[in-house]
Amino acid sequence: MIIDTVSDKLVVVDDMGNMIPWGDEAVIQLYHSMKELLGDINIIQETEEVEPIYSYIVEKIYTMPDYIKWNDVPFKDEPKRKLAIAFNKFIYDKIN
Amino acid sequence: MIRLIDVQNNYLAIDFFLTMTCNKDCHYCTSYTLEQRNLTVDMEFLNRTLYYLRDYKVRCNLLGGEPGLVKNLDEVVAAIKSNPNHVCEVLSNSTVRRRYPQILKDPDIIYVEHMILDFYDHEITLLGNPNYEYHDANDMNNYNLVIKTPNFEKYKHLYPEAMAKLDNKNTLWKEFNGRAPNFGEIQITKQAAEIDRKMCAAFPMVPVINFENQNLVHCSKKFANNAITSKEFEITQESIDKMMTFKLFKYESYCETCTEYVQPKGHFNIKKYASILNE
Repeated sequence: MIIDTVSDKLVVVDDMGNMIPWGDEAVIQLYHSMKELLGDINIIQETEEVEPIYSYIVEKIYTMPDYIKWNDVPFKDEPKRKLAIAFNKFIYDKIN
Repeated sequence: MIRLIDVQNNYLAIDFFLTMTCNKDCHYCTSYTLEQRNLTVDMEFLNRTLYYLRDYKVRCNLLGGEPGLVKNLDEVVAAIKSNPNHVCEVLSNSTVRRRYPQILKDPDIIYVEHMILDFYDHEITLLGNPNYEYHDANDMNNYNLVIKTPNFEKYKHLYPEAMAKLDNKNTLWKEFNGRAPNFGEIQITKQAAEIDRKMCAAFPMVPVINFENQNLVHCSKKFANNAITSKEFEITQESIDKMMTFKLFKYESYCETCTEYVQPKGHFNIKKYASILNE
């Protein structure tokens, strides 16, 4: 299965090519929070490893969506890239 | 002049346990001995450590034990202040006020005084000189520190005058963090969520540099309660670099049972992570 976005909505594409809207509200909320934090996100199955702190930040936002509201310091490109990797890993772990 | 809020938001704090010697024996503290030892800081070790930290914004918290008992505290403070990336903080039971009053007159040093031992039904027990007043609101970066012990919650209403004196911008209220041996029986805060403990594992509120053994441990709680099993790291450029970029410490079995208080908003706010990861 792969994850994609259609009209800014997360969908899961099964082995038969069927697109199923993602029903987990917490993950949908996380996707929108991460977009707010990082800008557009390319949803892909990642192979690159990043430091655990990036995964922890993603998990924290998942458990507490308001967490991003306290940020007035934008992440620079490299931390943004790593957060996007951590986010992709997080959502692929959710469907596997 | 430094502003505490800027330091809290942009610096990582490290506890420098200069000596374990203390002149008090607080019931909730396990990081002390009444034995007189290590009262002169090894400046070669300090300077080497500060050199490894030279490129990082660090709030160096001098404590112990009681830093006011250290014979060369002025020299230690001067070494820390020589690097603009480093902010010096001193935590004392008021011994520093008596022996090193110049520290309180320097607004570029954050002076935190932990003068109250605890609250009881008939008195507030002080650690420090009973003739000393609590710090009023000031711009000298002199602060009162009050730990919200179970007794504080129980008896604070009996002391409106003292509470009024403490009610100013220079009082820091700290949650009871459970280093007491019987903490499990008197715990007043819930265990933090697992994700907060994971984030704490990556970089605690304050890792500890132990000047007696000249090594590095994850946090004072592990240092105090779990010194035998807690992993110790040699102070090297590599270990410092890893620590300051969240790569040295791991989530370990000890963290699963840790009851250290974590504020509801999370271990560090996201702004602080952004500041550090952007460096």
